[in-house]
Amino acid sequence: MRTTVVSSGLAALLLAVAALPLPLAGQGLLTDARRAGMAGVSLTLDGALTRYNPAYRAVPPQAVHGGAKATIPIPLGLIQFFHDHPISNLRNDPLFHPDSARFNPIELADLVLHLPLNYDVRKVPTPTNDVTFGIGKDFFQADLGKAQSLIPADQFGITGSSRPLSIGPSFHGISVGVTGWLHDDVEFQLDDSLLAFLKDAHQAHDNTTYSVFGNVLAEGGFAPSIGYSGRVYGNEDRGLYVGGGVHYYLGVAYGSSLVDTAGFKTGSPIFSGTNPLTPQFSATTSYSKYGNTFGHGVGVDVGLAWVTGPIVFGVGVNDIGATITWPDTRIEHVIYDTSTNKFVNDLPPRLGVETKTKLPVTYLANVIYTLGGTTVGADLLDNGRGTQIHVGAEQRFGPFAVRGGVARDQRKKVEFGWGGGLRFGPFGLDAGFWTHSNALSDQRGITMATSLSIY
Amino acid sequence: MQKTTWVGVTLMVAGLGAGCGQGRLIFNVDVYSFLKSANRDTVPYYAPLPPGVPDTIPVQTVNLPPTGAGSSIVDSASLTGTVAFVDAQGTGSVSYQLFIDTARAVYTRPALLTVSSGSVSPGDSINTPFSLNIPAAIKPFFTSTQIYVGVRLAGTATSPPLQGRARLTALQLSVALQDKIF
Repeated sequence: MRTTVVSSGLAALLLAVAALPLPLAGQGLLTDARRAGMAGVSLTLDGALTRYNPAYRAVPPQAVHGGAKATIPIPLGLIQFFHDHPISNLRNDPLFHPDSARFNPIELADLVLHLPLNYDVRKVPTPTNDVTFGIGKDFFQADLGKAQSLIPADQFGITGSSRPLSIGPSFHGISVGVTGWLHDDVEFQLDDSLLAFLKDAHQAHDNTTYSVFGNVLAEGGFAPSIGYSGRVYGNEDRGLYVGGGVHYYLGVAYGSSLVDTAGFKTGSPIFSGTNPLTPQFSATTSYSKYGNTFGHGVGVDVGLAWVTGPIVFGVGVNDIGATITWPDTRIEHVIYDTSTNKFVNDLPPRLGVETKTKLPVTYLANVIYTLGGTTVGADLLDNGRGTQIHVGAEQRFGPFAVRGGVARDQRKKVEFGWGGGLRFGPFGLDAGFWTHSNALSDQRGITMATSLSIY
Repeated sequence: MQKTTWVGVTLMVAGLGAGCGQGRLIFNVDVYSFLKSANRDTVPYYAPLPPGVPDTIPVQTVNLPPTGAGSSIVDSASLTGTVAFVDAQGTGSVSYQLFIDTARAVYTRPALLTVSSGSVSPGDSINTPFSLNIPAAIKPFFTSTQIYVGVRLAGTATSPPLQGRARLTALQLSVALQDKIF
């Protein structure tokens, strides 16, 4: 059972991580040491900006000084990881071995949330405290100790909208191609009773329901796209660029579940007889699997960029109006039947129903200012669940560079970055440190990215 | 159903906390509350025992975490409590024997604990606290979903007939597990 639970959890987490948008990945999977050293801000016209602002595809890279043509990550974290977890012993490694007494699902979840590509200077501590249960005839209490911090007090959610694949030619600013897209949205919230029970170690009451409610959605497909980006005013030194794209989204598969309640109801008294808890589960599940008629919808990206000497400013908006219509959806209402101990449909399934889903609209605004050996920048990103802000700067002294930055991440936590680099002609070696909260913990970790740049 | 429910509960409770590496699961079970609710906290004693009167209580069930503790290792287990011997007639001594087992036939095994009253006389009410570190052979019992509890009263009269009641006022079981709950 434990293996199944862990596997299911990991699968969900991997899906969530796979669909993380780039800037969020930048908080957790940043492999460019320059960006890491500036807390995630991008001071070059790279994919992190063109993804959200199509106008940047037309802006000449030299509009921003110091940008590298290519960056090659040096994944020191993998060396560290495989030193601690030798490949020859992975089968018996407690990290991956649910039957081990030292197995810790929190540690494993943290590994997925913060893949070990970079060197962990300070790992996020994993709770290893004792957990105490109090049990009486009409008494039940759970004191999770430090692990209480893992219980989300507010609505908890993970949203990701990404385009993992985009291919197609571009000619005179017009691009035609196909884009793969993924979207996931997971959010849940504990009701007040369960929250008090888990987070504040309140004792359970008899004849009371303790539950979680929320929704889960995952969808994906591909989108034939056409776009344009070009300069509409001025010259390379001072000009206005615009960009736009239209995507015809074709949805290959989607599934969602709206959970009304998932929990249990205590008996009265709580431990009366052999059946102290009655499961409570009710959810509406909708899905259109591969092979059904594709979902479809149209979404628009727009952006503009203004280059005026040392300043580059841009605003981009993605997935405007991207509502996907799924014409062949199956809808089921599922409950947990306490008489048979099975999940059952309490209503006949509805077949061939038309449903709609909506991709989150994403906004990005950024500015980059270059003056001599100094480049500073800031960006603001909202991808449907919380606004992220990154501010950073780079100061070059001959072959040396010093960097620093500060950010507010998707969890609304302040993160810091600092680092430096050394350039040898067309090559540069960079190291960047940054704090992160990509773990099931309220505490931050510090990680170091190293990368090689080609100028 | 019980087990299914607890899988969900375990995800949020044990999974988050109890599964925390080498942290331990500690269960504090108020055994007294189970006996009290069944009106088995007070047991009469007699010496000599009248014909047809049992010297034991019906076996009681005490629920432990419904998932059981799987292959967890019991680090430690202890019992603490207090028995009050209230003598109504005669003098002598009384022993309060506590039986615990995972099988209902608890009285076929030796008593886990024996609490002696010492000498009692009419009108006495003697509170006798006790504590016990549970022996290694018994510890694995506490990884199951429930245990059975029995009580036997044995009196020895020096001035018969000896008659009174033994009233349990507290009985707490504490079990610390190295988690392997699934």
